[in-house]
Amino acid sequence: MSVNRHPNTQGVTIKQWRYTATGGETTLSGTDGFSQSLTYTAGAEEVFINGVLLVRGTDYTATTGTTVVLNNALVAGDIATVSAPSVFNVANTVPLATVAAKGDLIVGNGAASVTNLGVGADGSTLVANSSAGGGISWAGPTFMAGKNKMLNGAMDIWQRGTSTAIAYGLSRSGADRFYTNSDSSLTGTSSQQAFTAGTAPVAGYEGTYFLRQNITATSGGTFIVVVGQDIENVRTLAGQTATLSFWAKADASRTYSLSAQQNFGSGGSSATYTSTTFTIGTTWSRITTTFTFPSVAGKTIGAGSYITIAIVSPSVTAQTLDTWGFQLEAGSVATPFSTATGTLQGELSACMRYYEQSYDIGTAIGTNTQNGQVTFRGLGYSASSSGGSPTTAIWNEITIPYEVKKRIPATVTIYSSYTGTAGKFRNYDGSTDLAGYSIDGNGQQAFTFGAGQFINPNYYCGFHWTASAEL
Amino acid sequence: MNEYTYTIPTGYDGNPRTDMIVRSDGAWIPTDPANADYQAYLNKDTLPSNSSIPQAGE
Repeated sequence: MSVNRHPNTQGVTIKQWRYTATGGETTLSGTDGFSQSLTYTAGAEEVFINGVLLVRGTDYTATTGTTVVLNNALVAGDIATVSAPSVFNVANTVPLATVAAKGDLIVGNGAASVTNLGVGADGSTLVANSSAGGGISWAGPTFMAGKNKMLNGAMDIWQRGTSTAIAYGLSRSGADRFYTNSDSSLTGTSSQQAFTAGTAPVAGYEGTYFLRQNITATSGGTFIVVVGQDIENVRTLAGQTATLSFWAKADASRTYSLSAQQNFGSGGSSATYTSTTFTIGTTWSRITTTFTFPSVAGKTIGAGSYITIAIVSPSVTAQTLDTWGFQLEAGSVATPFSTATGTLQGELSACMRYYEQSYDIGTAIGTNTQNGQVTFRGLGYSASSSGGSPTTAIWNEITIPYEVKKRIPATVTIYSSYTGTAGKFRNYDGSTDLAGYSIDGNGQQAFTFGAGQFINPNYYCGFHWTASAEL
Repeated sequence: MNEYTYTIPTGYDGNPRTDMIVRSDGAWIPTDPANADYQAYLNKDTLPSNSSIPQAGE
């Protein structure tokens, strides 16, 4: 049988082997009547005959660990008991003082070495972290669904086309939600670049495209936000530690900075700015930077508030910067990359909250294409009530619903589907572009296009449209 | 640099509309404070600047 003598403090197990003699035995060994084999650590055993403790070396010999040799033979009915404690090596214990508070963990920080890892914040998770002393650290709180606050982080969605111009001010990239912003008169191109299969920077996550910001010339100005994205609602991550991670490479190694901004919307409090710096080299590497968004307590939040993630160039200079895999998440650890929604359709729909167009995805605005255009037929003049020649054009109104409800009523632009001219629709049968239209009923779900210009009856007309509800 | 001009369209009743403005590139912009294009219209006389962005080393 086994007896745990001090189960709450020592953890030492006492094995007790008991045997009833038939008479004449001088050796104790084997299995007793309780299926307990006789084993002991020499020198630590205690041998009793009828409850009387024998003297080691005088009354018996015990050296093998499995047998005890008695100096005097047993008499029938004698009860021989051998008690054997388990080995207890004090040198290999962990001091209780290693932990100091509820939830503390003892983690290895090297060979035969441990350290304390204090309990994490509520809802946080343990993640492997090679830069932490104990090899693991608390992250988060993180949420697998929606942990990434940036949309289109994998650069899969390019509604506006695969190549767009970079110029003075804010230049929206073809990659949805991303832009360049500068007070310098820039010349350059924001373009879609394809990863060669198997060469994407993340093992196990094959990115398809990355974003290339190629600035070929600058003129004047004080700053360049080479890559930026606005994220709706200034309450996002307010008062929290946040980590931005992304993969990047540049034409030359530079020390860029992150400008994390809180913009409080129309009539709201003044913006806040938090900055960190990091180096982007000439080969793909993951950039990780951790910072804290200020609390919004006491702030006035107006309509259209947002936070901004801006990658700022160290100087106003021509450059090429490639980026992919943007992720902004709560906590101080960059967890494995995932898109905000987890699916292509999810990312597209999320981006469409801010921008949508009738052109096919990836088709540049102003392209001569009839795919996806809105068409209608001319209705001519209304009849004259006086019997004379009719002079009032019949309005031809078309309500165009969005695929995704917009953040706000959007800025709507009409394009001739033939010449690509903005502010015009195409009268195909009349071989001309016309500007006589109105945008009405402009809401989050739809807008109404009303052609109020005379168009010969049954003349075929068409146009494309874009709707921007960007921040 | 894009330097837009703006016009106020006329409504069906012949009066100037209050819900929309039209930018010189043909964009119809709702007069919504949360609309970034409308904010740009309101701030059209302000030189585009974002010099409060912290630069590296600051």
